[in-house]
Amino acid sequence: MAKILVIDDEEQLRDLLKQMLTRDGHEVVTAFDGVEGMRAFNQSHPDLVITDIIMPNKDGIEVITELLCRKPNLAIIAISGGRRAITAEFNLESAELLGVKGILSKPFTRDQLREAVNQALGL
Amino acid sequence: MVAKSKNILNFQNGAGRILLISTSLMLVLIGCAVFFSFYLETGSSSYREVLFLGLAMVIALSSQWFLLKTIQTPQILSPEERVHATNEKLRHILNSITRQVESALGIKNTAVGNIEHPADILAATLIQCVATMSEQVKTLLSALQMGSNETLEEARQSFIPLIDKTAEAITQYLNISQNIDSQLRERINETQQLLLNLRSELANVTQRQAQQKESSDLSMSIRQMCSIIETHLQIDNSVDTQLQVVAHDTNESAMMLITLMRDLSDEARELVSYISSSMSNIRSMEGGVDDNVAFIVRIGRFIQEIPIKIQADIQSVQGASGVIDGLGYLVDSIKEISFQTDILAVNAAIQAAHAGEAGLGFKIVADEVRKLAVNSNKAAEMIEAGLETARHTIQHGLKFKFLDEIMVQMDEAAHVSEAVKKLEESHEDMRQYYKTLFTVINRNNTKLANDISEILGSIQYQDVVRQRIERIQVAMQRRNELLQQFAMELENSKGNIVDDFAEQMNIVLNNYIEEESHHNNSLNPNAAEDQPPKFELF
Repeated sequence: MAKILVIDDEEQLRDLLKQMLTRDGHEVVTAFDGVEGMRAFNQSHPDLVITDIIMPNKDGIEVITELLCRKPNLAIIAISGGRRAITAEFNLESAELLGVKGILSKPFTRDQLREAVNQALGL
Repeated sequence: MVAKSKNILNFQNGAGRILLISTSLMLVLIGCAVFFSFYLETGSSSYREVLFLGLAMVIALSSQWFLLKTIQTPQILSPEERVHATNEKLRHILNSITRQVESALGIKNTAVGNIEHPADILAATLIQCVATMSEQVKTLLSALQMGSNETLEEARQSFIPLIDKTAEAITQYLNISQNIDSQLRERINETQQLLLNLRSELANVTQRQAQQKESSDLSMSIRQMCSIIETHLQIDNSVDTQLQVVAHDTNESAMMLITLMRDLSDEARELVSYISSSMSNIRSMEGGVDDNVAFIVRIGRFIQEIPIKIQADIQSVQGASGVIDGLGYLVDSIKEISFQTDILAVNAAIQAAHAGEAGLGFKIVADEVRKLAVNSNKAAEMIEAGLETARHTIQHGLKFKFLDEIMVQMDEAAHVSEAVKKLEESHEDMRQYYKTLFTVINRNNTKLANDISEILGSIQYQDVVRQRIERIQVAMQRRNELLQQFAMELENSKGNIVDDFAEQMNIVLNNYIEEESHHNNSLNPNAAEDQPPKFELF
């Protein structure tokens, strides 16, 4: 189907996403923060990037900005659960304004993930 | 002259052939004359031979006359006249006129039909006769050489009817030649008449051509006017094309402006909404940060007051201890006074004993004084004990209160650490929040800046449109000036104004097209024609 890069600092969620997407037939590459995510993007050239917003080293906002500057039509889905004073809504609204194709607020269901992925890939 | 000879040659093909035959015949007759003169010299003569000789002379002269006439005609022509005669244009005109006249009058058919047919028959007869005569002459010559009188007589007998027949044919030929000659003369006269008519017709034609030339000049003027009108139309078409381009570009630019403005409005609305919600979150976070800051300030102030409080407590304790120490001196003084009073009482009692009964009352006073001294001493001891207790109590109480203060400080310190940790988190949140906020705002500002730049470009495109219209106006103004000038000069009928006007009008058109082309090339040197023109920034 498609090659998908998952960037999230939460290992459990990262593995869960990989499992769900692999089960749907996608090829999945993972990274634990923005820096590793950009490196993985340069190596694997994925069709879709699913990225968390709040991450160490390089956050999702930076990743989205850099990716869209390099590839304006790249399909990106932003996921966020918020942290303390920074709400998930704020993060996802910010990502939407930057131009991502889909947003998912943690926690989300498998159907919501599949729908967002299909919509972002135009399937 | 040339036309005449040409016409004669044209319809005298049979006559030419006759001339050749007659020339051959003349040579044969000369031979025959020589033969008969030889024969006459031999002594025999007759009327037929003389007549035959005369006919031969007539034929020879006629043939010579025709021959000379035919030969001399082209010799009269000089090379210039030949060149002139072969002038392509005149020949074409004369041929065309001749064809027209021949087709109109039917000269060719009648002339050829009347002349060639009997002449050909006669020529054939003459050829046959000459051939036969030639054979007979050969026979006669061979007979003469052989010297046989019989053979000669036979040859002469057979030759005489042949000569008769030939003479008859020549007579017919002469008649026919006369007829032909008369017919030729008639035809020549007719031809001359036709040529005269043709000349007059040509003069008429020339006159008509002159008239037609005037008409042609008028037609030329009309054609030039049509050309001018065509040039006008070309100018109008060029202008119309440019106006269509301008209208199309303006429409495209307006539509682009509307689309860009709509996108800009949507983006601005989203950004305002985003910033509004962000400001609410910022105020919430700022409230938390303010609480933490106030707490930290209170803790700091408390920490700053702790040494002062401790110093004041220490001073209070030191003051109380000094007071207690001062009271200890008083207790000692009381004890010393009590001791001296006791000693004094003892001495007074001794003195009272020495005084006896007189000293009994004094002894009672001395005892009471001694009791007072003892009681004073006891009171001083009690005060001393009380002061000691007080000193001990102060020192002990100060010790416990200080420990409490330390505990409080520890407790406050624990709160401060927690508050600092919260403050760090709040700061991290704020940093993350503002980073996200500024990233989004920066990106959207970039998009807005690009959109605004495109809008400015579209607005500036209006200036390109204005320049195009100005160029059109210049061309139209120049054309109108020329039109006015042309109308005035046409009214005054000054010279050949049509050519000048057409030329100037073409200059206007070419200047306009060249300037427009140059301007388009300067705007977009590598662009294809169907591509839209670029914005010109200035």
